[in-house]
Amino acid sequence: MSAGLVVLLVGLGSYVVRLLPALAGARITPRVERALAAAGTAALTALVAGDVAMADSAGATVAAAAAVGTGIVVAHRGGSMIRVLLAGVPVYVLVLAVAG
Amino acid sequence: MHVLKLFGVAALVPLAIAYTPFALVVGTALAAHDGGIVGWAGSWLVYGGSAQLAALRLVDTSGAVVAILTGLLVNARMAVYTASLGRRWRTQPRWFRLLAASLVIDATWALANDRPVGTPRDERRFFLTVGLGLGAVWCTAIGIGAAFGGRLDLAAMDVIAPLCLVTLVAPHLRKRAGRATVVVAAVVAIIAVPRLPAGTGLLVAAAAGCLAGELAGRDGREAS
Repeated sequence: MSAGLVVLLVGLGSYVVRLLPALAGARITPRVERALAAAGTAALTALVAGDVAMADSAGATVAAAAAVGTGIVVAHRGGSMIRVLLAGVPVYVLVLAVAG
Repeated sequence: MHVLKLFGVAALVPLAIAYTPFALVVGTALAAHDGGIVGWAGSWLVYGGSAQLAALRLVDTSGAVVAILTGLLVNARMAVYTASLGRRWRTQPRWFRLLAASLVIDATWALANDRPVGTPRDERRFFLTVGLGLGAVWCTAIGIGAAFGGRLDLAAMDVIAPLCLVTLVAPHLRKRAGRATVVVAAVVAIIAVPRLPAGTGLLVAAAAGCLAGELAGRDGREAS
């Protein structure tokens, strides 16, 4: 299946996810609300950690881990996405040059 | 100035500026995976960079099913947002709810939810301006990223998408349940992703993170 079709299917599914509660005016219990919120956070975290673990080489893994660690610190302190990129990308390039 | 506030333009401009770099990254990822015009059109419906980026990063390595499931997991929180806005939109016409549901993301929900309840017409005008305006900027920037981002061949491209996602995850570390979710999902992913068949490690890690967050949140509520 092509990437474009995958994006389209994610889009259609996302629309249904959004639409049903809006039409029904449904009440979501606090427990379901927490689970839905946690699902996104857990999936994104697993994706980032999996990317780091599956980097092309040991050097790339170290560089990606260093960049992601730097990004976490900056974002945790309230830094915007641009600041996270400005801090993380140079760390990645530097560590990759040394360790790669 | 009052008119700009009423129509949501004042709220739209800073959001559009903030979201554009992320959209360029998503567009670059779309081009790298040959997403084409279908993928770009799907961006209107996904209307969530993290879900789209997650699906695109997984489609080659883990297959379409895992990519779609992960994208939907990431966007699952939108159900919470539209449920809360659905109560606010009870008196709105059906056409509006059908259209507005597709425009609900973290930012548009926060803006609409924080706003004092106005007349139905004002609510519609505000939400459609912000949602459609941001959607237009978002998809235009994805198109620009797809057109030109593919020509970049930088070593750092591999880490740009994870760093964008880190920005979305890190704020959850401030709460106990969020910390448990993130730490457990990360540890399980590092162990499971290289060892389990394509994509399943990621889903296992996401499930473990969810469970840890629920348990930590329950402990926290019981303690307080």
